[in-house]
Amino acid sequence: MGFWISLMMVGITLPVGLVILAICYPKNRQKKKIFYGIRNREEYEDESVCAKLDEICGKARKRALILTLCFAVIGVLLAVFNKIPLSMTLCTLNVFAYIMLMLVPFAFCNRDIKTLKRELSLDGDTGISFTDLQNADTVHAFRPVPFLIPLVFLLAGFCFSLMTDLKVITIDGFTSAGTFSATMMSGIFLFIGLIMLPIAYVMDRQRNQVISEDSAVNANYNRAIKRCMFGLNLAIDWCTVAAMIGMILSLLVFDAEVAILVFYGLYMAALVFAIVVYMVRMNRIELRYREETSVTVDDDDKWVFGLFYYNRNDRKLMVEKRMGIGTTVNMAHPVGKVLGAFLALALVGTLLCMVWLGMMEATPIRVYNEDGRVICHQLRDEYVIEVSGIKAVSLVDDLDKKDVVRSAGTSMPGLAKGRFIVDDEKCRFFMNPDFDLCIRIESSDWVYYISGETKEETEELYRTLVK
Amino acid sequence: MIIKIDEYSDTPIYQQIRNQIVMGISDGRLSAGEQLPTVRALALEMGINTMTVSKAYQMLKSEGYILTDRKNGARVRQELAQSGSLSDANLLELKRIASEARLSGVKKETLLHVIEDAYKDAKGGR
Repeated sequence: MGFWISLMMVGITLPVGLVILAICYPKNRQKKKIFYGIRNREEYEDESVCAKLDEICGKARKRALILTLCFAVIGVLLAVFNKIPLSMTLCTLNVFAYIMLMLVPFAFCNRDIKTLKRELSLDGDTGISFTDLQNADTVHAFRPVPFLIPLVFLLAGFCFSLMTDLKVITIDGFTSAGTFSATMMSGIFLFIGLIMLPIAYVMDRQRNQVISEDSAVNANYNRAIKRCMFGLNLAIDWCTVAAMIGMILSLLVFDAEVAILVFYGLYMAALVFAIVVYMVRMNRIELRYREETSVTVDDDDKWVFGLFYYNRNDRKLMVEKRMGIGTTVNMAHPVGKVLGAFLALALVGTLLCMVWLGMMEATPIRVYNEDGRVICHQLRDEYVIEVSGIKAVSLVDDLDKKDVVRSAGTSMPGLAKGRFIVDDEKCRFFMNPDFDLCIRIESSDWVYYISGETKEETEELYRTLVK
Repeated sequence: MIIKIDEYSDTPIYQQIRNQIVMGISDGRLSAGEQLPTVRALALEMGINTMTVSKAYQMLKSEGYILTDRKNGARVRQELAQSGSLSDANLLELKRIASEARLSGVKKETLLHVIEDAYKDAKGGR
């Protein structure tokens, strides 16, 4: 299973990487309104400037290509050698590092082009902004009703999963009922569906762009863009509905892990497809309005590395992104600062979590009897059970995984620790679930299921406890 | 009608908005009775404080260019009051421009020609 999971991660992330490559590192920069976070200008069509720009952009694209290649090779190697410890964590770190590192050539390229601009004395229009009076707050494409329909489906799916897991509804063959796998997955899908609603609204409310002196052109251009964004958000919602329905149906037929993997893979493929369609449509809009564009504002200086918008004089929070798709926040805005700090914390937190998970994956669990206490140790003493307080000890070799439900804690290949429920009985786990042997300890306050890293270690502890 | 705002200009933003709306009314880009966006909508669109837009609208209202009411928002006046004379502030501004033109060596005919063109533009080329 580890091999397939690793391979699937590469299979999903590689197309995403290629989409990032196509959006952020365009080959035909001349045709783009914005490239590498820099607004395209007529001056860049000059032969000598064009050559310099081609050199800078070519270098960045080459670096991004190398990164993509490295990511794919490392991913495949991790999949092939999936027996090594930490393979899953390394796989996730590989994806994480790839996404982060892809920003680096972009930022360098942005910096180099800005340097070139300074050398050529191409001043930006710092502080200049245009507003179309006729279109202020009138051009929108967002409609809530089309969003409510998929949300109803998602809510229904979640309620159905919850009721089957709570055994309110009983369906023959729904083997994962009671494990809360379906509830958890449909809950995630429902959350994605719900979060798309404010995202779509905010994207629709972003400032209208002024590309022409003609208000009708501006209105049509912005309406076309907003319809395109609305379509993408709606497509994501419907993809989420399809993935959830498919997952619930397949849980009725297949094993839970396989179903989750298959539909996660299909879901990601559908999302990539939706983004590609969005990109093509946006490109068409840009080409359609190219000749009608007569107003441009070069505010490149307000974009730090072309990635972060920082403008103290702009009270608007959301602005259109320069790298990737969608909107980003003005980092000079108080809310933007909070969101930025939150994002940085989330990134650092994710990284620390991965390191912690990796350490748990790499550190073998130990159970031993010392000074009249059973100590369950991994990185720290997780549980200390007083031998004098033990009421009963038994060796369990027929623990059915279907009867085990995690309520809080870690459950990963080779490690199950935390609070679990076994046959409606609350208990604490500290064991390697790969071996079908563990010790059941009934103490005065808790029931423990513990095992060592090996069968021998478990049997050894059992012998000392029985004595 | 497009409004251009320069954050680094010496002219305050509310004044820039006011000036451009006046020019828009004069050259016909904003027609009589035309609805203007609400203070909040325009402030959001421009990314500026609502107070700034409100101040610009207040000036335009007090000068008789627009009408505002709670129900209909802001509209360009159907008929503007025409005094037939330049305000003191504008007269002073014109004097400053004429002085700078003279000191720069601009001939009287050239300046008059420029003023004539600007007047034509202000009429929307009519």
